[in-house]
Amino acid sequence: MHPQGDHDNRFLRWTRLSLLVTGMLALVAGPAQALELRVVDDGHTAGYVTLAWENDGDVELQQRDGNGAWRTVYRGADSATTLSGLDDGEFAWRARPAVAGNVTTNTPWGKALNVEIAHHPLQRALGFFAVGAVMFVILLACIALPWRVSGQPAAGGQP
Amino acid sequence: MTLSAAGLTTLVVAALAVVAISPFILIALLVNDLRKKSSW
Amino acid sequence: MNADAVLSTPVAVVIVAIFSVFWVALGWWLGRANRSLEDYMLAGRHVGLGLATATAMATWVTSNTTMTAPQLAYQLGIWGMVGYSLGAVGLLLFAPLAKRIRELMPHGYTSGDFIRVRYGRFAWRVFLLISLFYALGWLVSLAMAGGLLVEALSGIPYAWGMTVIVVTCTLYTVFGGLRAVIGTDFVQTLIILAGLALLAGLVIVEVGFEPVHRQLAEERPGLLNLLLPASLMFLFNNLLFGVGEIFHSNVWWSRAFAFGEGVGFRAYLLAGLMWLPVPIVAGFIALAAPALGVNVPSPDMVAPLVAGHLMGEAGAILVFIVVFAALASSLDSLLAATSDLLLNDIYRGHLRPDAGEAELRRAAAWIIIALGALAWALAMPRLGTLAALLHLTGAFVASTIWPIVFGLRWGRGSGAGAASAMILGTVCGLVAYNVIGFYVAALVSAAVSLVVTTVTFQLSRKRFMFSELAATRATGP
Repeated sequence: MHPQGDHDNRFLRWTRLSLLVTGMLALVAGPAQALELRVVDDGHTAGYVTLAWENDGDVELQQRDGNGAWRTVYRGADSATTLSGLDDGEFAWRARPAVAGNVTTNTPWGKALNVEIAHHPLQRALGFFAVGAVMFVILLACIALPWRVSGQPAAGGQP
Repeated sequence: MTLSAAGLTTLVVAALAVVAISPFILIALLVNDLRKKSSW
Repeated sequence: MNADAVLSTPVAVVIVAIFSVFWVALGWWLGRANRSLEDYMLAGRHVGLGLATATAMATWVTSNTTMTAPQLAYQLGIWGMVGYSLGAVGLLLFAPLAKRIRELMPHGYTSGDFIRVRYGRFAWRVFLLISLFYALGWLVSLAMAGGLLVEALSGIPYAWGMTVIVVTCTLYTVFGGLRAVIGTDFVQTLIILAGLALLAGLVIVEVGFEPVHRQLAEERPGLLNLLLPASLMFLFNNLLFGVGEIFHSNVWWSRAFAFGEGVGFRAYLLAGLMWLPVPIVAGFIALAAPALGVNVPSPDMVAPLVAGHLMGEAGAILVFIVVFAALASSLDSLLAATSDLLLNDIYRGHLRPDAGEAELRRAAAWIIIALGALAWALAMPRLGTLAALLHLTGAFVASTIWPIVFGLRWGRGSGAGAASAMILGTVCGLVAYNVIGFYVAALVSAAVSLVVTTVTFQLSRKRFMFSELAATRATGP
């Protein structure tokens, strides 16, 4: 079983590409210190998003949900992270270089990146679900009902 | 609608039990086949 | 720099070397009993229940099951992993078909044989196009996944990892035919199952359910949401995609022919039941990441990251061996079954109808080598677009479900009807893919194909004599 992988990667390739280009342009133009975030895997209709950035050392990443307070979600040397299980709403992330450990530094925060998480409407989702379910029941009936003895000419023939 | 901790535990324990026991079932079936010489 | 390479390169090289030599040696040893073409292609047609169940399971566990199921759990939550596990439905539903296929065609070789005799040459050619497109797409994507995974896990360069995996699988398939494939699959299944059980067990012991659940509810509540819309939409599309893959592909038909009398039904049923929990166990490993404080730079690497975090180098080695086994067990089956289709339906069916047994036996080996070389050549440039081709195949394979199911069950229907169901289903699926989204391609394709197949079966006056199928091999193409 294999094909389910990376659907959204492909689905949103163009979005990602344009964000990537914008991010790279900003990187060239912006101040050397500020960390620029970019979306590398946009699952905003499914509640997840993978963020990436360019860094030499440790970074601190903060998240803001709606108009709430900033909250640190990652501190370390990786240059990407995946946030998932997000509810509908406006999310913002910002990052800055940080000294290793829990020491907060005074380096400035990079520009905040905003993403609106908007899940598919439940009704649409249930519509697709229903079409699939009907086909599944037909398939099940076709396969589970008793089969004719082989070698006989098939009578009836009612599909 | 949210899955509870008990629900998660049940789901995973049941799944893990099947995965853990499967190799033994497969080996038993193979041994049985070999004994009946019906493997190939 | 992301901490992707979780295993040191020298250790990985040693593991790859040991396992490659082991698989090739095992394949050669298993294949030494091959006498006839039937031995080589279909393992003598009496594979027992143990090997039959293991090979069906191992083939359906691809590198994606061990890597993508955790990814889906991490991105889409509970429904991601449970939805992925519904891929088992394809195996379960194929069980009665496998029984029917073996009874109707005791001398059949490929899925192409059935379509040719049942629906005639035009539908046969349409079917072969779909089938070969899918097989090549899967083959190339497996080879590429192998190279990428080995590189990400161990730092071994893509070209080397990919080459070693393709060459190893090609060699033992050439040496041992289907016997080698099935025999190695058995060992690979044991490795995959034991590795996963060990890892998940460790997560439970080290972390426990309560902390995993608490952390998820606090940080990522959406992952526990049972009404997550995106996951609901993927569910049946994925199920039909899986059913389409299994019902049409010669990987599964050649096994139906190869399994001993009365074995197919039980083997596919058991394999489906055993496969069902695998994505759930693999997915749970990913759900422990937040509780462990593991950062996930790239979600398809979440399983090795958690394993590395829990067990250090030993965990990384374990995941590496499991992934390597999962890759090999699918790649070899695909090589064997696709070369059967090329040999039986293209070489013998279209090019050399009068070829004798000795010629076919030689051609079989060369076709496997050529297919391995083709997959290698296509995977070498590492084009992302090629792997993406595989996602299109949902539209193709789902269109074959109904012509096959109806055609096996009822005597009505025509070649033109079956061909138009496959063509129209595929076209509409591709349109839906581009206009609406990937998550409806298989669904739309199957729905259109169902309508066309039903109408053409109702209208047709023809009655197919199922006894014609029994003589498949005697008359030849």
